[in-house]
Amino acid sequence: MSWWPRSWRQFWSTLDGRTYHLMLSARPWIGWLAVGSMAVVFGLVFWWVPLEAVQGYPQKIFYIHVPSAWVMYAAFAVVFASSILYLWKRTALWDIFARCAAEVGFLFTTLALVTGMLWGKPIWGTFWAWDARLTSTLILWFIYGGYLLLRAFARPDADVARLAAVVGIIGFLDVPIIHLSVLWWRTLHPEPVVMILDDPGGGLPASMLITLLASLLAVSLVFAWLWIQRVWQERTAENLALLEILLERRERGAR
Amino acid sequence: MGWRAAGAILAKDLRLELRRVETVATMVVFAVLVAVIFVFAGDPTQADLRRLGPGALWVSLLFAGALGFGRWFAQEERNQALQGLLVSPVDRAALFAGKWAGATIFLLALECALVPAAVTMYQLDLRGSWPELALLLAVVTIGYSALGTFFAAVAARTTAGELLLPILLFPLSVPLLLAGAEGGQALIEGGRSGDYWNWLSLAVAFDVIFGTVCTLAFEYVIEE
Amino acid sequence: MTWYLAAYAAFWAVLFGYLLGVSSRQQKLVERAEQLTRRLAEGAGPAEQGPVEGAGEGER
Repeated sequence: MSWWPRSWRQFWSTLDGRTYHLMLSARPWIGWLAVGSMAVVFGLVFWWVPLEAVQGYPQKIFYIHVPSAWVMYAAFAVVFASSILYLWKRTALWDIFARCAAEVGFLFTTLALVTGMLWGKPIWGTFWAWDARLTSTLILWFIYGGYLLLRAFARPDADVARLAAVVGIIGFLDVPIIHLSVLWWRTLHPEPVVMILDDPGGGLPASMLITLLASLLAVSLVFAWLWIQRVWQERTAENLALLEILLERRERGAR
Repeated sequence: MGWRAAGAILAKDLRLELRRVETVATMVVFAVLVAVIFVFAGDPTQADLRRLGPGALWVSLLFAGALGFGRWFAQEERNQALQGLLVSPVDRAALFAGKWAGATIFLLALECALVPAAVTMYQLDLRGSWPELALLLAVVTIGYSALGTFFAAVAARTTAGELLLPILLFPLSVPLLLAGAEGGQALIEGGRSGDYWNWLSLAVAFDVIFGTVCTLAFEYVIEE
Repeated sequence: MTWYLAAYAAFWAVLFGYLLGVSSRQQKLVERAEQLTRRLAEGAGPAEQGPVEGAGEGER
C-alpha cells in the first residue's frame, strides 16, 4: 500500500484503511509498551514524586485522575471524527472506530469518576460533591452510556451505525456548552468546600509536572492499546460473519 | 421545497392534535401532577415551597416534554404516515422544521397551563418579571423541542424507545435546564439581571447551534 | 493514605475487569474462527490439503 496518496480525494477515501493498517502494525507491541509505561509511572508516583504540602497522600490520585479525564475527552473526539467520516464515506471501518472508541472512552470516564470520588472522600469528607468538574464528567458518562445503549437497543432493521454517528456528533458538540453552563452554575453557587482538584496552589513543581506528563503518556498508550485491540476484534468478528455467510451459501449449494 | 412544506407539515400536526384536544390536556394534567408529587415527596415548609417551586416546574416540563416528543413520533410511525411523507419530495430539513415547530407550539401551550398552576401551588412571587421569564421559557422550549423532536426520531428506531429518549435527551439538555432554572432564579431574586442575560444568551446560542445541527442531521436519521 | 491506595487499586480493578471482558471476547472469537475453519475444511473435502489458516491474524 503506497503511503503517499495521490490526491485529497484518495487521502480521505483510503484514510480508514491506512489507519487500520497502522493500528495492526502497532498491535503486537503496544500492549507491552502501555503496561510497561504504567509500571514506570507507578514507580514515579509511589517512590519519586514528592508529597504535596496541603493535601498529602490523596493528592497523588491526581496522577491517574487527570490523565483519565484527558483520555475521556480524546476518546470522545475520536468518536466525533469517526462519526463524521462514517456519515461521509459510509465504510464499516469508520463505524468500528467510533463504537470501539466510545466503549473504551466510557471505561475511562468511569475511571475518572471513580478516582475523582475516591479523591473527594478524604478531601471533602464525602464521596460526591457537585463540583463543576465532577458534574461535567458525570454528564459525559451519561452521554457515552446513552450512545452505547442506543447501539444495544437499535432495531435490527434500523441502520444503527448511522443513528449512532449522528448521536455521537451531537453529543460531542454539546460537551463544551455543558461544561460552560455547569461552570457558571457552580460559580453562582460556590461549594463551601475548597475545590483543589486541579493544580495545587500556583504552578506545578517540575517533578510533579514530569510525573503528570509521564502518566498522561502512559494512560494514552493504554487507551490506544485497548482501542486497537477492540477495533481488531470487531473487524475480525465481521470477517468471520462474512465467512459464515459464504460457508452457509456453499453448504446450501452442496445439498 | 423548503418553507411551504414545513408550514404544511406544521398545519397538519396542529390539525391532528386540535381534533383531539384531550391529548394536550392529558399532558397538562401529567405535568401538574408531577409538580404536585414534588410537594408530597419533599414535604416542604412554607419557605421551602418558594425554593422548590421553580425546580419542580422545570422537572415537570422536562418530563412532560419527553413523553410528548415520543408520542408525536409514535403517531407517525404507527400509521406509516412517515413513509408517505418520505416518498413525497419533501426536503428532510423542512420535515424536521415542521415537526420542531409543532412540538414547540404544543409545549408552549402546555406551559400556559403549567406555569400558572405552579405559581399557585408553590406560592411563587414573580415580582412583575413576567415578560423576561416568558422570554426565557420560550427560548428554552424552542431548544428543548429541537433536541426532543430529533431524539424522538432516533429513539423510535430502537426497541426501548420510551426509555432511550429521556436517556439521550436529558444529559444533552442540561445547559437549557440550567439556563432556565438559574436565569429564572436570577429574576425572582431580583437585582441579578446580568446573570439573567448571560443565561438567556447561552440558551439562545444553544438554540441556534442545535437547531441548525438537528435540522441538517435529520436526513441521516430518517433516510431508510 | 488509604484513599490514595484505594484509588489506585480501584483504577486497576476496573481496568482489569475490562481486560477480562476483552479476553473473553477474544476467546469466543478464536473458538468461532476454529469452528468455521473446520467447516471450511469439511466442505472442501480431501481435494484441498495443507494447513488451513484461521481468519484472524494469529493468536493473542
